[in-house]
Amino acid sequence: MIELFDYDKSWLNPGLKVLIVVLYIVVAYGYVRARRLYAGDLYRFFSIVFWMGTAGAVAALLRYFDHGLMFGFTKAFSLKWFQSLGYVVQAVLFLLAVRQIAKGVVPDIRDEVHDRPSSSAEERRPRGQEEKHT
Amino acid sequence: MVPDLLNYGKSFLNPALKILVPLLFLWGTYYAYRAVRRYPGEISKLMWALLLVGVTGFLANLFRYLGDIITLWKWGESVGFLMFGLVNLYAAWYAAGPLVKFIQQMLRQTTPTGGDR
Repeated sequence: MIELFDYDKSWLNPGLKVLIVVLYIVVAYGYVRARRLYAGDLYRFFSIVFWMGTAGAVAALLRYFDHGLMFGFTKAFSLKWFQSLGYVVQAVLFLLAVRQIAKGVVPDIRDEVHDRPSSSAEERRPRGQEEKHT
Repeated sequence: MVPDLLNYGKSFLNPALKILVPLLFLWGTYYAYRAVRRYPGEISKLMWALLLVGVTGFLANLFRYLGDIITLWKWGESVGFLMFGLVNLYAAWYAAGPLVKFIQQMLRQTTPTGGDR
């Protein structure tokens, strides 16, 4: 039982690493599918998060290979540098994606989801009963 | 011979990059929080998912840094990245499924002809 949680000996460690790589590939595919359904700024948003998922998948794959000794890397000049760069790229892309959304550069969908229903509700409302805006 | 700057065990860049990444995720989480407050209704579920992506990304990368100090915390890194992937998967599924259906339904209701645009 203790060996199961021994990070250096447990089969769970490489098992989770492989699972995470597979998961990120599925995530990247999911974002590509979502991207096809949108246009404009949301298309751009899903493009960014697709590349975020891809960077995550690459970084997770490099994590599985640890220092990359089998590829000629050493513990000094380690493959983990590229893993670190992958995570930095992933974090920067996440930041760019949510920044784009938070700054409201998707006014088209905001209009569709938020403003239009209220305007159509006003059309159905009898005259003289305008909604009071506070 | 690897210069000290590129020596993974000695370079200051190694812990610096490991600290930078969770901070970037934290910054992104703040933007996601602003997005949650900005968008109402169905689309806010996508924003909540993005908020959770930020939180799990922050935690996973924080444990990645802490795992260099105590090996046991590397489990936190693995679990964190797993959660990060699952929340991303939910966001992708929600954007490709329920959110699209919701927007199409809204467009049908609000277009004068009553048809798809």
